[in-house]
Amino acid sequence: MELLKLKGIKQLFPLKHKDVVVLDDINISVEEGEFVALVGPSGCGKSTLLRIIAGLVKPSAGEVIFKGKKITGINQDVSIVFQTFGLLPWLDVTENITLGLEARGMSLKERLRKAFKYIDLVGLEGFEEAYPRELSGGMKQRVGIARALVMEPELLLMDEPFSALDAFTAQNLREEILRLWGSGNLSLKSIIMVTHNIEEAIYLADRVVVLSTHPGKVIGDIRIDMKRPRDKDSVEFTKLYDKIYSMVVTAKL
Amino acid sequence: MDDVAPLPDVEIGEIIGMLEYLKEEGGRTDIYEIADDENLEIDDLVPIIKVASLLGFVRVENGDLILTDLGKELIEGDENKRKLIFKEALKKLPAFKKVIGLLLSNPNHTIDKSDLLNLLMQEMPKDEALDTLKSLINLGRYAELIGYNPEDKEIYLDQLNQDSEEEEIK
Repeated sequence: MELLKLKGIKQLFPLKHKDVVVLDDINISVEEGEFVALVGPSGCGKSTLLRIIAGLVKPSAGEVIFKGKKITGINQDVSIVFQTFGLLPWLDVTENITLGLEARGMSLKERLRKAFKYIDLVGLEGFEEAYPRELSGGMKQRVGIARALVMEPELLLMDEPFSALDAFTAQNLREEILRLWGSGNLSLKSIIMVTHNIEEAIYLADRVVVLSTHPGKVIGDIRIDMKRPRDKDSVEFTKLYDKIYSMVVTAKL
Repeated sequence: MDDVAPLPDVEIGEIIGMLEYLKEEGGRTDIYEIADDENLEIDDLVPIIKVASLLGFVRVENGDLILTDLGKELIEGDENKRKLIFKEALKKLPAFKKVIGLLLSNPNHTIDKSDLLNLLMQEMPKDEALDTLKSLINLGRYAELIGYNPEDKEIYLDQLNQDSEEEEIK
């Protein structure tokens, strides 16, 4: 079943004498159960596209259709995980996670119950009262993930979620995401992840959508049919890597 | 506070990520290759190896890093199993034994962060003491052995551990 449909999405960025076309005629559908990676050179509007999907940015043209309905304004069934975590420094881990629930008018008891459930799920037990300044990058991103999941979204958007982390921590969190995705005990139906890391995209996603730059257009949509966990050294993985890498390089030229 | 060696401050994720990498490499690899493969400076890699090795998850032999049986068990376990293994490994560290001992002997089973830092500074330079303190709190929290209240700046023994620790000391 189709969860999300982007129809003719166009995004202009106004300059003094002309408009820069950041995104041009983007048409993408995402089915329930799909983990989609969006890759492309920097500056191709991937992050803007994510914000359009969330309803944070209104596109210059085109429509975002979610579960068959056109989205105007913020989509309540969508959560985002950010590259630089975005935690509020004056709130501790539990408070950062429950902020969105508070905005929904949930009782304290219920908020804490949900928070502890997701704190447990992402491996943050023991850090409930810690402040962001006490946390390493990986721990901060676990808070970001818990905060997104506690809202029980149907669609999870991730904007370069592991790019600000060291190699080992990033790999550890990728495995965590796969574990959560494969657990089947989340309300989550689909994930869209923006990344510039092609290896990461192939490792995690069911589908890799490649965008060009200036303007951002869809130039490739590749299914990844490999069983997880995927072997980065396998022939199949390497072939996919080469294919996508060439597309991205061509897009840059 | 004698016998307490400095403990580098590394992320839990870095330790687990390194163990996962080792497992993928068949349990043994050249340390230099890790640095190359993962684009890490040797200076960044060494602290992770040090802590992982102190905890018994890896050992170093002739420039090779080897995943131990305990390390393998950790990686293959779910989150709960991992925490349990971490906890048991941490309890064996001399630094941790000292901290737990101090907490048990103090009223309310707490200690001020600054008091612990001063004790550590009797054994090592300030920079290393600060790193060791951070590491003890970080690892201790993850293993749910100890907690840290940032408002009161107090380290405390995790409730669940109080009774079992008191039993063990007896």
